[in-house]
Amino acid sequence: MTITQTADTRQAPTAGTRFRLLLRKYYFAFALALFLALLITNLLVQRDFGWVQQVAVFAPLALAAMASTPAILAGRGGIDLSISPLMTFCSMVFATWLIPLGLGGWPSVPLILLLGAAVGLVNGLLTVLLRIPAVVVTLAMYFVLAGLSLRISPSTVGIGDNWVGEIDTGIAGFPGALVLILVPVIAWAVLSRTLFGRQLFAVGGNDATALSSGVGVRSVRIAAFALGGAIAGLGSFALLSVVHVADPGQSTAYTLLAIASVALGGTTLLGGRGGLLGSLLGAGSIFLVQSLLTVLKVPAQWLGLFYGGVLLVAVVVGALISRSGRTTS
Amino acid sequence: MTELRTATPGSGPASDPAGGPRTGAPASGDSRGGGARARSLWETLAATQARFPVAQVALLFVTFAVGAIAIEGFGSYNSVRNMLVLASLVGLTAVGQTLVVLVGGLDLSVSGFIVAGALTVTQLAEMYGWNFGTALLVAIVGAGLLGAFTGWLCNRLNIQPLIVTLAMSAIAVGVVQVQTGGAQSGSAPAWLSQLSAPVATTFGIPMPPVVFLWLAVGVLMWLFLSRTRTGRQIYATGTNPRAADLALIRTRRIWTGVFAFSAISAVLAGVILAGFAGSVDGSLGGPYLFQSLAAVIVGGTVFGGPGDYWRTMIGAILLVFLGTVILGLGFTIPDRQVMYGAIILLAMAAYGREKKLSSRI
Repeated sequence: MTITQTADTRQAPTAGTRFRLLLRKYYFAFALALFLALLITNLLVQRDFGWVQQVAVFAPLALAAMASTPAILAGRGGIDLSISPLMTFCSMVFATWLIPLGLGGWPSVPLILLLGAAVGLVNGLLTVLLRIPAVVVTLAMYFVLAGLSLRISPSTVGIGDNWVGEIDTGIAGFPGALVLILVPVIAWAVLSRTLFGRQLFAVGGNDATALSSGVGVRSVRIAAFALGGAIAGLGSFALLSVVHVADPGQSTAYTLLAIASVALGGTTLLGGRGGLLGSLLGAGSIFLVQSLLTVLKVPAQWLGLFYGGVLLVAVVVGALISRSGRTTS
Repeated sequence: MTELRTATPGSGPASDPAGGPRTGAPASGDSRGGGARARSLWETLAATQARFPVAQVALLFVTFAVGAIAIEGFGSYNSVRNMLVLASLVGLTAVGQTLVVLVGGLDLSVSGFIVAGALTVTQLAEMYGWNFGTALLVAIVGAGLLGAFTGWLCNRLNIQPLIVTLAMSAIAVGVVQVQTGGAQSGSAPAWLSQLSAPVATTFGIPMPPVVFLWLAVGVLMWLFLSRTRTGRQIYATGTNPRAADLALIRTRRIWTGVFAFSAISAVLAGVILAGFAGSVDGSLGGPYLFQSLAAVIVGGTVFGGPGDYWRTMIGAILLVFLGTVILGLGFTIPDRQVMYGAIILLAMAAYGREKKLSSRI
């Protein structure tokens, strides 16, 4: 059935189909155009843009969006709803346990990354080995993590005089948060060229075919969840650097926007196509619109409506692009 | 891929070796040797469990017994009545979720529509001077349209309902918030509070009306799912959408209808919750989103069926009993949240497991 459809589209590639195929190849083109347009608008409206501060405020969303991407790329409804609570959980662990133990310095980076990866690993293991839908596993994990964060401390925990607090002010004019954002981007650029990267796309595209070709589908999928968890661990530093406290009440802050960013970034939610760069640009677009709304003094009560609308438009556009030439069911 | 045999039983007492009657059907056929062999005790138990949630009912009694022994006053009439009221609130928020799960979807907009519905009949009604009936009608029509759009969109463009409902939840609350100007405060009329106040009586019976309402909804849902054509079509759509399409079931209409129904039932549940809570704010719906989903899954309804609303009712009572016992034993609300997460995973591990990848090649 798929074969005949492909044949059909080849016979008569309409302008719409050609455009769709182009967008599919350069999946982040839409997000890039949107991002640049919004950036120019922002710079025109806001004369004093304050780069260092803006990047620091943007970093948590950027990392949450990138952390959500690998699980979605792995396909079959893979999605990680526990990214936002995981970031909060990691920041709680950092503020309540690592700092008093004297591990608040640089050793905390690998520890927190490992913690994030471990939670992601559990998500992956439950999803793959017990064959429970990822949505349910990560939703359950979402509540477990949010509960644990509140268990660690019911109120905010300060981080005192710590290097994390200096990320947002920047090091000699260079935004420190940019480093946090660039680490996963560079890691991804390397990873997507390795065997694991190719296998991840193969599994996301068609897991049955990947399995038949000898790809270890299960381990690839588990690794995708663990990778997302590690990026979320990194995100906890971005979170801490902005507010300077670990806040257990903020567990759900980025859930909706992170997924909207991924969808807006051109990663298809069916898996197998997309990447971290698109999610970063998608998150950037959302952040710039937020910034614009604040400058234009749009009342806060419109924000929820706006977030929902963006997410809806993003998934619909994504679905229209990735639809394979068929017209009706 | 290493284990080519069927799913190994042993993921807890509620484990069903067939992995649920639907999902595991082809795999279990191999190991049972075509039914020529006498059924083992385990298989008999599993077959019974598939027909009736024996494990859940057993757990229900065990939980109650533990509570009655360990916590003073747990077994008293007042305590049981209060728990039934809580269970009926959870159960009423899970009506739509049950149907959505039966067609293979997931509705995360329950919390949003609860808040939107509750705010519409309290704050908006006050603002615009609507009477209760008008406000309710506005809420129902609005929710129905948004829900129908969700279902249609998911089916038409093959998008995961998870994401669309997440967006719709924010939109539903947003639409109301924009009108109230951000402040979320509504107070419910007194008669609405009487519906679910634990001390309220129904025609002289010392049990609040909401419990009887829940029972009536349960009977109606049972009749609807098992006795009407649309009910059977919902099962068919969930089990195999393609086969249902070929059997001339209009699956897109079923999806549209089910999501519209879910939104409307969430709005109605929100109205009742407004009465129960007395005042309304944005955090009204949050706890019920997860509890409604937990009740559906713990009751034994699986994505794409099989399942039933009365299973959800048992799940809701079980959840409330467990939650009360946990709190009664000195644990905190965050602990209970962790427990809910764990219990969903346990139930899904026992029931809702997907087919092996190797069996799809």
